[in-house]
Amino acid sequence: MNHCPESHRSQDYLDDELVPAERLEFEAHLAGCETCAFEVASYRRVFDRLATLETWEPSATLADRVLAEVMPRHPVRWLRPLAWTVGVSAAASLAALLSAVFMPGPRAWMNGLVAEAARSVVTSFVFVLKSCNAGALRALESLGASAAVAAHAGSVLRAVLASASQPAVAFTLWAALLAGVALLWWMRPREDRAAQEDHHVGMLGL
Amino acid sequence: MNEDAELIRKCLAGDQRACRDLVRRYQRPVFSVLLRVVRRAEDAEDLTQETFVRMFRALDRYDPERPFTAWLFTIATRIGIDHLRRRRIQTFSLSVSEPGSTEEHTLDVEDPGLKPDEVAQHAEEQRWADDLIDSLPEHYRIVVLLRHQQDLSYEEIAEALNLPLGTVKARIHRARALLKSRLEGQSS
Repeated sequence: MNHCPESHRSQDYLDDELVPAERLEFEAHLAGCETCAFEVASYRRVFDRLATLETWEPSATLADRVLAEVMPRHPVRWLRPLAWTVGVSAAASLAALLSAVFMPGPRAWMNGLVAEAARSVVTSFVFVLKSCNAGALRALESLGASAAVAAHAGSVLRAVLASASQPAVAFTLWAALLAGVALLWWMRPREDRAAQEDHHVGMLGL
Repeated sequence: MNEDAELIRKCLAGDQRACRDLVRRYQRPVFSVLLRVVRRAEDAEDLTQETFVRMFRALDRYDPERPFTAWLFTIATRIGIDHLRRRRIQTFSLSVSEPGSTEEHTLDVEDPGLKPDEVAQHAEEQRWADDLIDSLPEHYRIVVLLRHQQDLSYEEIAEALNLPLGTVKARIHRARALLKSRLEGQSS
């Protein structure tokens, strides 16, 4: 046990808490007091040990988890306008559909519209098939295929064309084509917005 | 402008990269202090996350005149102390620390980033230092960690723990005296 009255300064000395004059005075005291010198040496060991304390790294996902919790969700900004747009559009569509079904005027107008649309679709499809037919025949001829093969292929194409010229068949083919395109579009690869790095957000506007 | 201030300014402007950098810059010291305080890696991980979440949510109220580290550890230590109060984690004091303290320490450092065999290979000096700090009562352990591991001043510790300056100083001095006695006991 240290009974020197100056020993209470040992920790302040090592902590660098003494003013310069006190520090010089205590250092002079240390030179002549073995007890305090031993005390300071002992505390210095404590300080050294504390300086070697190990630290640890948390798991690598910590920053991601923190940011996921504090960052606002982006869709919040446009979700409400989108919802209004969808709602209004759905209501207008429903009203138009009901009026077309139950009111004679709109029903006649709609029937004419559907007939015109179907006619346009079929005409366009026939045009495409004819173009394909002519193109295929020219390609076969340019590749040096015999006239018999070209004629045979032409007759097959004409048969297909004749079948496809039927409005019902043409309409079905066009519907299948559009459905296929829509399916492919829906299955397209999408970028993950959450994986995008470093976009600016109003994080602290929570 | 220092690096912390610049990162904070960018965070307040909504820069996600700056937020990530700020977490990564301080996650190790915050996690280490909380692990020493609560002694369970899983709890320390959760509390570290909570510390940073609260830090970000209060960042617009941060006073740039104050040292950021002190402010951050104010949040961390309060969360750690609250956790201890809730869990009523038992601490072991100097008088009962001798038997079984090594085993307890090994359990404490089940940290995701620290493999058991690495823990086993620590130098004896390191083990002694860890055992020493773990042997302190929690109210001493926190102030010593903030002072010696995080280099906070007495004033900053007092502010972080919401304690009078004199109390902080007395606790640190008593904790060091306990550690000195313990070291002398190891040497003899």
